[in-house]
Amino acid sequence: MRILVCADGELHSKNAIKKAISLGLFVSAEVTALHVIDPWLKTFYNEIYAQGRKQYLEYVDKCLQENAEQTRRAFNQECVAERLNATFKVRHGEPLVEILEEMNEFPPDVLITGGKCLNVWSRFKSRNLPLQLKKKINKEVSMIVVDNI
Amino acid sequence: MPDCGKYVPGFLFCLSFAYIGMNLDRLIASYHNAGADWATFLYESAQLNYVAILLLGGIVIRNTLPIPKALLPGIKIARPIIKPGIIILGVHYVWADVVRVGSVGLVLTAFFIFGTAIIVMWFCKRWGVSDGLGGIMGAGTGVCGVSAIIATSPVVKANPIEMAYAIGTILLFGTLMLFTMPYIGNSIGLSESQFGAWSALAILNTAQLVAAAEWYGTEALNTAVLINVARIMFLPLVVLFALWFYVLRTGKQDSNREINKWHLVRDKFPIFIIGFFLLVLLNSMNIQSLGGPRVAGSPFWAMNAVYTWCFAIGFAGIGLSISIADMKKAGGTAFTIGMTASLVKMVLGLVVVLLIGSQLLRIAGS
Repeated sequence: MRILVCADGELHSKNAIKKAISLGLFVSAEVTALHVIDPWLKTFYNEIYAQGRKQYLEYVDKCLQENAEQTRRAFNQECVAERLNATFKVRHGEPLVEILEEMNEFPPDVLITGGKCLNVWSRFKSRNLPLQLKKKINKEVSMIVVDNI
Repeated sequence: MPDCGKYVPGFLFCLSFAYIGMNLDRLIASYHNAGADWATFLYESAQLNYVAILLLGGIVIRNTLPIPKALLPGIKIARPIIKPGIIILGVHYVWADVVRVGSVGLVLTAFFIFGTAIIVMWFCKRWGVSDGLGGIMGAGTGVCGVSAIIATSPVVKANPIEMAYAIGTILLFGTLMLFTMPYIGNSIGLSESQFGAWSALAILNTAQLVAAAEWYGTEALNTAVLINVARIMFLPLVVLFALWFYVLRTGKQDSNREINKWHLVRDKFPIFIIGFFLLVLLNSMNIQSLGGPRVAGSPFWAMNAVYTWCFAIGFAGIGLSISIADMKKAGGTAFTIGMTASLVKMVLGLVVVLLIGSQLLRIAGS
């Protein structure tokens, strides 16, 4: 059995990691955490009056790498504490596209993501990645959304 | 060698879109002049000129049709084509304009920029908002939106989530203001020069500011661009202020990394405005061989024709870049700060330009 968990470093994804680890231990599954480095912020570097573009791009790159590294460290710590052998992967691109691509290349049995508790307004304006994933993933894959409570 | 080929398809797409938009504008205008009711409605009531066609058309295309990935790099580089357009616009001014409107603009922008930046940063500090978010929202709402966020974020060490919220918020309110302010201005009978000053003071993002002013009329654009030049000249000072407010004053400076303030100001200075002022200077010198924007066949007349194309391509790029998904990133505290700052600037800016009147804000040209 293979479990794929999405890890972006935010609180809801930390809860998702905990869930993936406990489930992985329970069913002796292979757990893989996926962190996607989203280059969205970099697309604004050429704003009309933008100054210090190189510095901005370097800064954003550094922040995104640090975030990936922190997420990897936190995931590894959780795995060591629970004595679970797991894999941490990093992909670059639009999160929805990259998660689907990963699932296409290495199909999991269970997909676990974190989910924010959204009110009506937030639900309307949020990208709501778990909902978009639910619509697009193969029906044979079970999906668990761990809410940020 | 940079891969320039990847920009070609998207740029050609923007160029074609701009061509269609400009010709549709001419077509509607010709029917309007011929007395067709539908054209009069579109031209006068709906204010559907080439700017509106390119922006609205671009938004519809971007958010409803699947844009091929091959077009995206070219669309992104189409937006900054507005910049050479602004430099060329220098031929519309003489020094008397710069001194009169520019000095009014300088006082207004100094008041609005530093007023907004200081108040936003101070309130953020008081309400426990992180330094990173407070710094980029202070600069973003005060100076020139996303451009200011790009300049400030490495200085105040904003984190990526805060930057995403801030950029989404600025884009959202900039776009809302772009599509509402020209109609508000028209409904209350604001003159073109007053509208130009109002948009330069109130609209958070530069691209939307230029589009709104051009949408309203050439005179509005002339005033808006001059005041906006004054506005962006303050960008390095606002970054310096954010550095002092969040880093130097609080002693949070990295001990092994000396911050060179002169280098910071130099790096954040918008060099292209030197080109703008150079053209103002040449136009003011009344050099016979250069002619003027209204002297047919002269070099300045040709440049004047080119600027509309630069703007049209830029507006096509702006319209095609306005993604609802991007604006959905607006949220959290940034949303509240952005909404409050934009509403306050909109109302205060309107009161100020109504008090000043049209005369002081009008560009006479050569």
